[in-house]
Amino acid sequence: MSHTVTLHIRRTHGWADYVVTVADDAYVLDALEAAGRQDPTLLFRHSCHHASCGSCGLRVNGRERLACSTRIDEVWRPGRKLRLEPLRNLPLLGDLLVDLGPVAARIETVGLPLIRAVEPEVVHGRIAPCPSPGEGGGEGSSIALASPVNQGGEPAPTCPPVKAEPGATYPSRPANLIRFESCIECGLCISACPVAGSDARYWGPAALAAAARVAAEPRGRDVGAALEQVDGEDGLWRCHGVFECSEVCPSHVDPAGAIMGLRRLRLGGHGR
Amino acid sequence: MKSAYERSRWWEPRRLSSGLWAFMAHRLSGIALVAYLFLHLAVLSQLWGGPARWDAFVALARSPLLLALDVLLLATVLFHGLNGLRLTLLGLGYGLRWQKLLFWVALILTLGLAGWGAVAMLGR
Repeated sequence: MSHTVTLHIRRTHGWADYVVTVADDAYVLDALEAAGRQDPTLLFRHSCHHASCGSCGLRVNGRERLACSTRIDEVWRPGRKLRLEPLRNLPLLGDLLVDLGPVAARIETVGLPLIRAVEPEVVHGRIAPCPSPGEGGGEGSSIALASPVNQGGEPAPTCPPVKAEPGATYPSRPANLIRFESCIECGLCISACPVAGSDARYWGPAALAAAARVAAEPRGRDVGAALEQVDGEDGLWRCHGVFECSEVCPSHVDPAGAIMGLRRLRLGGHGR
Repeated sequence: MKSAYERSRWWEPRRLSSGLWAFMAHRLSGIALVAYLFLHLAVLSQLWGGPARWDAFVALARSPLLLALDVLLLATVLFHGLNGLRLTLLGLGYGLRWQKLLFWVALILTLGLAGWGAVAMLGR
């Protein structure tokens, strides 16, 4: 079985239709790739095909989604066109392609340890002290998630770049494990946020959720500095509580909840 | 080559997510209440015209049309106030898991109390 779908794509200089035939269990990205084979000038981005890289975000029928994890039959009905548009509130590079650089730059500014090179050893719900000074290196304790290998083929050093704080608690319930570390920096939250559309200086949901992540699990980061950065009229207090960012987040990070939680922390004097 | 941003718009009901509806309704009701405030001041200025002028306005205000507008005003005030309480709670980090439920509670209370007000005002 297959679907013949008309993609109604917003290109840089106007709308264009592409009729493509895809399998009935195809995803939007499969249809886009079929359109790309028809017209190699069509600009869009993708990489992993399984909702991990965050590069294929766009608007499908007006709603922010990842093209790779949105099935055609979820969003399209026979006889109708499937409308595809680029994300908003981000610099448009062309067709469906936006510059995600500002998202990554702001997350990085907050000081998030994005690359989890190591995983702290957790014993009875607490991060354990260093079992072996020779292996873990220093006061904090960590064990390698996998066996990382350097480009030269040599095993990477097990010494963690960011050490866990001995005695720090880990979330005790599964619900508490929903955290920013799942963020794939796709920019869907920025596009869906009506406040980001009205204030270009606004830090945006992703970066503010990153700050919440630093506050929740500092792992050696300076919580006060991270919170100080986002504690302003273009940061925490600009959010209007629309919760659209949490609605569209494909990784269930819940940026809106993180922002509200940060406000509570700040009002309680945390990080000052 | 970078072209201009396309910006999202706050008044765009893209889908039926309650948070966005609450946001739009809160803004629109806020704008409406600010406009009403000026209208209210303009109406009060009728007092400068003396008792006869004011009595004429009071007679007009008792017409079904204006009473219906009063009910609409009551609903606007109720929603803005109740959703404002919801936003205050959420903004302080309380009740985040129930933000959608809180919107519906605010809406149902608004409709219920405005309905009660309608009966009280129009049922005379």
